[in-house]
Amino acid sequence: MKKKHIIALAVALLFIGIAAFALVDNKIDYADFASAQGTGKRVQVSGEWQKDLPTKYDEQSRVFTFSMKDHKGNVMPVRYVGIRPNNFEIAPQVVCVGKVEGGVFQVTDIQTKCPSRYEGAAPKS
Amino acid sequence: MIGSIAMGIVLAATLMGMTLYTLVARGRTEYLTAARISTHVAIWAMFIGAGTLLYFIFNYRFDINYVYEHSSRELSKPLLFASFYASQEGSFMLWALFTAIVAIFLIPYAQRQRYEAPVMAVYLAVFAFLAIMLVAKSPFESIYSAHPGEAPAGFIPQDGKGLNPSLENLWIVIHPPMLFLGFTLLAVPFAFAIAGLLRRDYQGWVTTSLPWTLGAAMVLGFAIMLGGFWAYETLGWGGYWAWDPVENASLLPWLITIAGVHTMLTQKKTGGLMKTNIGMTLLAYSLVLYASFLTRSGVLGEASVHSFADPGNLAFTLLVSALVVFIGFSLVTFIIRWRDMNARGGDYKILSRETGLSIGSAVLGASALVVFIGTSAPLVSKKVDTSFYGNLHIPIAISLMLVNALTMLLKWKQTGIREMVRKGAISFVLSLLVGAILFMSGLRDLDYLAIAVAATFALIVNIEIMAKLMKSRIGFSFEGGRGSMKPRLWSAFKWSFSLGFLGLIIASKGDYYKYGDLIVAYGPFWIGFLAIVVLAFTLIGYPRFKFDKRFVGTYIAHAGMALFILGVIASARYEKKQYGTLPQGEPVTAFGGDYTVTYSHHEFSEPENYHFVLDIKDRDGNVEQARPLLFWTAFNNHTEPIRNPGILKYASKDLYFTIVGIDQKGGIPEDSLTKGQSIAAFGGAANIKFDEFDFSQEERAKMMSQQPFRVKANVEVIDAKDPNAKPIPLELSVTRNLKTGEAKEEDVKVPGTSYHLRLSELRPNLEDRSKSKIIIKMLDDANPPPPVKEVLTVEAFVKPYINFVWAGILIVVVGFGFSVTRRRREALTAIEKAEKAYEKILTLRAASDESKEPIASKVHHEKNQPILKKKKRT
Repeated sequence: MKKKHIIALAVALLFIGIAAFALVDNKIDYADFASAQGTGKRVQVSGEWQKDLPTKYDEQSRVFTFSMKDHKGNVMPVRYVGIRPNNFEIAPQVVCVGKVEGGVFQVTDIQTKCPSRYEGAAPKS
Repeated sequence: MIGSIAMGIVLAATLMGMTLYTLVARGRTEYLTAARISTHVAIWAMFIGAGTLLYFIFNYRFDINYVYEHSSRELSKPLLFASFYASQEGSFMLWALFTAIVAIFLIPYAQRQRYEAPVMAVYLAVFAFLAIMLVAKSPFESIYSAHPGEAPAGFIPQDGKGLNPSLENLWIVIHPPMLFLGFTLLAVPFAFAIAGLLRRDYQGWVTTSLPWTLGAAMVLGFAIMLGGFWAYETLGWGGYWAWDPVENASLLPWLITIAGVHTMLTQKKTGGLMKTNIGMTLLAYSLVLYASFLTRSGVLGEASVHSFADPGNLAFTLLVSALVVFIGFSLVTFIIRWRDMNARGGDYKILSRETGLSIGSAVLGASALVVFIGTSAPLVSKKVDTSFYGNLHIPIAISLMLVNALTMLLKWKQTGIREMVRKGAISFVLSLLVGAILFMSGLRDLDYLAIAVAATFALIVNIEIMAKLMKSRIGFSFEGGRGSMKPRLWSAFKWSFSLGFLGLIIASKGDYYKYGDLIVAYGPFWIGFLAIVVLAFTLIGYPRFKFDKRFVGTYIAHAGMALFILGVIASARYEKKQYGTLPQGEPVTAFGGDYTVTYSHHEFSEPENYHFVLDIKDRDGNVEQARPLLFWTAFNNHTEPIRNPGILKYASKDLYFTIVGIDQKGGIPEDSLTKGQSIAAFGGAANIKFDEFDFSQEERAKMMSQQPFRVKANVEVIDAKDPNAKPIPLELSVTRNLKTGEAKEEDVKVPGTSYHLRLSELRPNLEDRSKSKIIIKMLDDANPPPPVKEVLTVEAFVKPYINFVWAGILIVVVGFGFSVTRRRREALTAIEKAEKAYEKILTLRAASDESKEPIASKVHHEKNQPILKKKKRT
């Protein structure tokens, strides 16, 4: 092993270390309401919008509240601040990322899965 | 029918061609003609297949399931074309079509490079994979076989489902084909790498495939940028890159290809890094296949908004097998040849350009690793936050730019540290100065500062070298007098065209949708201008522009990259975002008074588009219009509108507006009352109580039979100011017609006051009559209601230097273009040289040993054999 190989290896290891740390720090697990309760971690939960429970979008404060049923059948109110997602009404499935806090799923990201989806763009970048 | 047969022929012919070319590569040259014929049969059958699908789309053949699912009569011509590749099957079709087109150019090139047989064998294997996908999931399936039992045989639907409306714009016509062309082109270096391995030619293939690698990187990079531009211009969330798995999937092969380009250059100079280069090239294509797998197999189902739906078991199995077969084959060949590949001259001095290139590649590799990990996380039921990519790319961007600047200051082989410092000192000091200015102006984030300094350093170094190189290679001369016409006309056209295009960009202020109108309006003037220029150039003479672009490609590309990174951080760091509520006609100040925004009116256009016209006034009083759009479509059953942003483009920034919602304010005040409830009205002057409603059987029957029906409600009005006032009973009524949607509200005046009441609606509760509600309108003659106003809620952004992002990438693409030309020429010269050297050996051998087997047959035999070890280049 030459000196430069050792340096290169050290740099590579350092970077992999940083990357691994960042991965642990930034990872979001797929979860359901029951398992996310009380952990305070950011998780992704997918489920169905409950049409008959109150759903409200306030255009002034941009607070969007609705209720969602996860795949285990638990229902929880969801609160999201931002622009109401496109195609929400016709989406059979909603995917949310956020934290469960005090019985409310505080969501920072909502994705809707449409029946016909974003088929258009091939692998779109 | 024709389509399916054509696809069958493509599959058969590619497999046949692959087999025949393999035989040729193993010395059975008699099959060469047959192999070429098979390949051409595959190419032509592919054209026929693609043509058939296009024909079905343009003739609205909705009995073809694919056409029914993705096309419709209301699509414009370009969008009809786009529905060709709107989904899985069609996009494989497009990919295969490009594979066929590229093959036409590849065959003569590979033949010239004496690489035809092995390269085409591998390339046709790729083609065959696409053909298998197309046979397995055919875009030609009829609607009745796709939906057995639902659609009777022979049934032709009137119209198709159409495209997703948020994708319906100019960019869907350009971006996906670009992307697939990039993927297609990457198969060429892959084929050369495998062929090189098989032939044990670990050096020559690099020179041969370099122009293709560069070309693929150019096209793919451009495609990725177009995708980002598309998202920015139409989706309305204000960004161009979201680290979505599908975006990442196209970025991965690009990063590895770019890394590979740098190590390939090192190998060309030093002969080292053989294994790295073959490995990188194989990896890049494996990542293309991996990207296809991720986006098409449905595994990303939950992680990405725009990956394809689950394609079914068969397609999934095929995708996985392709991944296993191609990666497995690459890996096995690579391992078998491992011991054979002994790097020659692999040892280079620390302070040399080749070391810099290797480090640069390693950093790019690190970037690819980060993206790979994040993108693959969903495979193990995880996901990473986008900050994962962002945070890790801070050190990557800094080192990339520093390595770039320093490497450009180094010479090949070895450079003294003093020389490097001398050459780079000024640029470095200048970039530190830029950093200091940014710090003074309030930029305190260390990461942004570091990236800004590093990128500025790289930008200045590259521009400086470029300027030095150009000094002797660029120039003007004036060709007076008379002479041949051709160069004059050509020159006149070039100048007029360039000036005209520049004028177009300036006049339209970057709004490419205005190009058409502007061309129509000013086209005649341009033609007149052209005529004058032609006349002047013929009579007087013309300026000649001399430009030797051979060596500047690299510096242009790297300067573009530095500009791009500066644009990315500037537009991210100095972005301003604000929500605003805009009542119609009322000026609202935004961004600390930098702008005054007034929602003026909306404009309706067919079929259901509403442009909301915003007047934007800046501090100097200039007014410009932004026109964000909302439109409704049958695609989502008119449930909610689709948004397109309105963007005002300036040289140094964009103003970006997206509509969040529309509401109405003003008009006659309304309130709802439950039975028995009493509410304060007219600013507390009176109380209104709802007693009972009257919706008789007779009126109900009228409602059921869709006739106009009348509803009555009894209310009491009490003067709130006078404690002794008696309630005044009133009967309100409304007559509704469900057929026409009309409602006739009876205006009832409250006696002795200026107040009027109207019953607007009755909402009976069928389970509990006591919970029934009415909605009443309240008017006061003394205090007329404010006029009805639309109130628009918008999200607004200021995006400074966003143009650097686009310009940077375009400059990179141009730089790549120059480099492709240069490396292509080099590849051709290299083979010519090698051929001459080989002929010399042949004549020498023929002269020296006549006794052994006749050379002539050997020459014939070796025509497609690994005869040529190209000369090591210096």
